[in-house]
Amino acid sequence: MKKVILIEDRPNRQVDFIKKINKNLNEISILENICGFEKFNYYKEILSSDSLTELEKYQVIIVHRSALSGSERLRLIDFSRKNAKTLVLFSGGISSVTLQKLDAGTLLTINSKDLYSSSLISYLKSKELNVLELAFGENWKINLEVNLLDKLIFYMLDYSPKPLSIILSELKVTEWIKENYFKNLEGVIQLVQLQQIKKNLQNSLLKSI
Amino acid sequence: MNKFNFIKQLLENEKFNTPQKERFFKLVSKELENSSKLDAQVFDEVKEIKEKIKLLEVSSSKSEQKQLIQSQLTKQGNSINKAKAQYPKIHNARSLVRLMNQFSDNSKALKYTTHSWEHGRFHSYEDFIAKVKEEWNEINQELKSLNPRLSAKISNFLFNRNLGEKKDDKYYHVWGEKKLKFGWASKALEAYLKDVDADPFSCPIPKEIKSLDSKYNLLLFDHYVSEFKNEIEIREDNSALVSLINSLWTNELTYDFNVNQINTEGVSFFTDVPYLKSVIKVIFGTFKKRSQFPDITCSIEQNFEDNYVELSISQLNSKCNRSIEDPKIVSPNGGDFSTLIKNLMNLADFSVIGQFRDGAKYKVNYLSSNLEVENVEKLEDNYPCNGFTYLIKFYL
Repeated sequence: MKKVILIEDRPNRQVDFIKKINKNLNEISILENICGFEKFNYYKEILSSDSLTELEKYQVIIVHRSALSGSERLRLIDFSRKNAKTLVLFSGGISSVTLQKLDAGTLLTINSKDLYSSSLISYLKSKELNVLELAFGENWKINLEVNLLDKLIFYMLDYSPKPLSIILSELKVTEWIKENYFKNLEGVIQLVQLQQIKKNLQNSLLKSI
Repeated sequence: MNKFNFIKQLLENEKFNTPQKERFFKLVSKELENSSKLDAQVFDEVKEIKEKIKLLEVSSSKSEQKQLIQSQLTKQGNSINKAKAQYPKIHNARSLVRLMNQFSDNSKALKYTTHSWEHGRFHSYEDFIAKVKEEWNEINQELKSLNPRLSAKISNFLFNRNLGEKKDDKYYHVWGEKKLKFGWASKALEAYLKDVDADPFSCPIPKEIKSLDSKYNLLLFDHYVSEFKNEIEIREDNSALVSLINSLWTNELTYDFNVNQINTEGVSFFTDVPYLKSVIKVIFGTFKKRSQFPDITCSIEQNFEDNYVELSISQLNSKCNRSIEDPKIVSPNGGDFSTLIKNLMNLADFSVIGQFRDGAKYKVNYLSSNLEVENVEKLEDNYPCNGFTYLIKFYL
């Protein structure tokens, strides 16, 4: 059964990227690979229409961001928000990986190069379809922790107390990090609390080595 | 080119397949329907103007109706009616977005000023810039008349060959809010693209420009493109709206206030981002004057039938102490409202909702893209309004 749909309007780009990882996306059983031409036009019609019900059967929708107009993109994000879908928007113009929780859904924005990588293959072959693996690779947990530790060190240099929501946004914290490191915090956060998070991160990383 | 010429050209020159034909005819019929509505509206208005300037005799029934309406006007009604002549200002926010959408239209060279392109799409740097220039010339007059600031920003980023050079003793040629000094017409980029296979976005920034823009640590042309994209569009890929509101919370409101954001993730629309920032800054400034109401909500509502995104910014539990008749409310001439109206002109529709001195709730419209909208609308008592609210509507 197809659980993931990938909608790409530039077939040459997919061919170029996939050549590098030496895999045929069309052979992955859970993936509906819509790569240019008539099939793409068919789905583009759907994406431009009032109804996205055709996409309801997929758990994950991956689309080239620039293949959509602004309103098509917002409609698709809204559809994912309301129907608990994972939506992945990729583009050459996206400079960093961002994972956002949208009510019941999830939005991942990622650079095309980072999408078409071995992480995509491992992700599509895994049973649980963990978007963190697609976004941050096989060692996503360590990646997220190292990334946060790195940011925290600089963040704390000239830190003055801030509300939790500001910190989560400035550090671009994912839901997983929030659940594991910021869970019991609320209100305005003091430096000492960030120092404790730093310590927890270091301990966890030491255990992983 | 007007839309009818455009449709004619498509019919004459384009070869559509069956589904494309069906979609095309659907869009054309929708457009014709809108046009006929607009025509009817224009005819009605011309008739009304003729009646007013006595070019047309008013029919007796209409004349009676008018007398009846006149006699029913109360003092309050009169003052609101006077304001109606001035507000809401009817502007062209939809047209501006239509022009800006060219930056995301796959068939336009303009799109590729911010996106990489597939090999062979353009033959050379000169070929690319010539096509961009041609498309820009087609839209720039209209854009300039709608929003000269935005037109100047884009024009400088695309075509100013003197970026980073001194204009006079004091100022450099720059573009955008950060006064950046590198763009598509910079000589170093042109030289770099003599190699037709080179990727423009990987062009390294020359030392002298890096030192002029050192505050921002921009090393590749891609970084400048990214700055440009974020000045003309609120983008969902970097949670731009969330970050913008948070930065103004930190710098303008301070943490004596609580700001709650609802549905502001995953939102994107074209606009002049620095101007939107200045608008929210003014709104937060008005909230700050009433620190007894520290709870602020910023929320997004999307409407895909009318194609817009509406940002509501509310100061919970606050009410307006002024009368709905107060000219400062219904027809502002100076002050914060005027600044907001000026900065949002042709960018976004603008209204406020609140409970006023008489205890009733009203919506006051200042900028609208809809000719039918009244200056003041009295709302039902049970209308959900938890505090004085600013409404900013962006079209898609």
